[in-house]
Amino acid sequence: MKYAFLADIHGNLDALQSVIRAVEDDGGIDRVCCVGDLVGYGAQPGECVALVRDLGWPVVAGNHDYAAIGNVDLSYFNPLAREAIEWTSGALAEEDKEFLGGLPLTWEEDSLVMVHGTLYEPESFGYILSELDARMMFRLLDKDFCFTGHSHYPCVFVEGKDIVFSREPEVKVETSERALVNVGGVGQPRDGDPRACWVAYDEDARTVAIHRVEYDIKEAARRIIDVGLPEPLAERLFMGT
Amino acid sequence: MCGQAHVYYSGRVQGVGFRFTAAGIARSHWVHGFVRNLPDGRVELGVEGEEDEVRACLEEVSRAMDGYIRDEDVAWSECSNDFKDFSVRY
Repeated sequence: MKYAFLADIHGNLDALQSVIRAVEDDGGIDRVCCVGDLVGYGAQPGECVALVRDLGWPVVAGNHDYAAIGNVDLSYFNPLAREAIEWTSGALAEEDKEFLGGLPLTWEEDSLVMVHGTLYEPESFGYILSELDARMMFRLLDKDFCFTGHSHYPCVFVEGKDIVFSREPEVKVETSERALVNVGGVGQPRDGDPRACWVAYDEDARTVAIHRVEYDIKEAARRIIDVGLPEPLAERLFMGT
Repeated sequence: MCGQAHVYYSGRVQGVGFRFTAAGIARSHWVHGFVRNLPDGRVELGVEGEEDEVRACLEEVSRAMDGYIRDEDVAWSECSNDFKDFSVRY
């Protein structure tokens, strides 16, 4: 089976639709999965939820999804994120909130599991930013592949004799190895590359490929300004930060 | 009886997983053909097989993408036997 993983859409419908087109153009994807944060920051949260819901993808909850429905304490959100979540919560229809409220924290199939943050206390939405964080994840992982989001920074940790960090566009994981894959951000990339990001996972070949997709950033930024969200949320889209 | 349907969908039909959804549905039916995005914003779906099976496939696509389709332009013809499978074209 060949999967597409995407995460951190953050209400950016322009980016999401561009990624969907790219996944379809790939021609070989059997299943699309979403690793959370459909909403928060962007101007079209309802449209993003509706599209993902209609497509019937497996989806896990992100911290912004839970925050938008009051399931997460906002006090640890930075002021911009908090303002965006409060706006998002007001913009979402009840059926969108019900959908977000029904999302699980983890989802798994034969060879993989996906979680927005960490396998340890997934409801705390921790970050994996170091080899030590990755080591803790591998201790809890009972599959060969784990797909995460949250940091908007696409990368792969491969556990073999040691743990190796990679930002290569394609990584092959040997049968004696396991991988922890951050699938990057669709709607608000933060690795310096403003293009939307998604990851292809080929289960048979045991490869993970990071893909970048151009989208109409100007339009997405304009929409943020038009609905009255803070200007920095529009500006950062151009910088990929 | 074998039949081929060509459908042009208009509305909000690109960038919404239409091709992916249509391909998944088509592959669950005994039909061959293709689906592709057109430069004018429409999606073109060509489906061939036993007529009942083609109709069932088209109905399922219409139901699945109901909120996105504004119009469907359907033309029926005889089977061409040009398709070996169902593919997403671009």
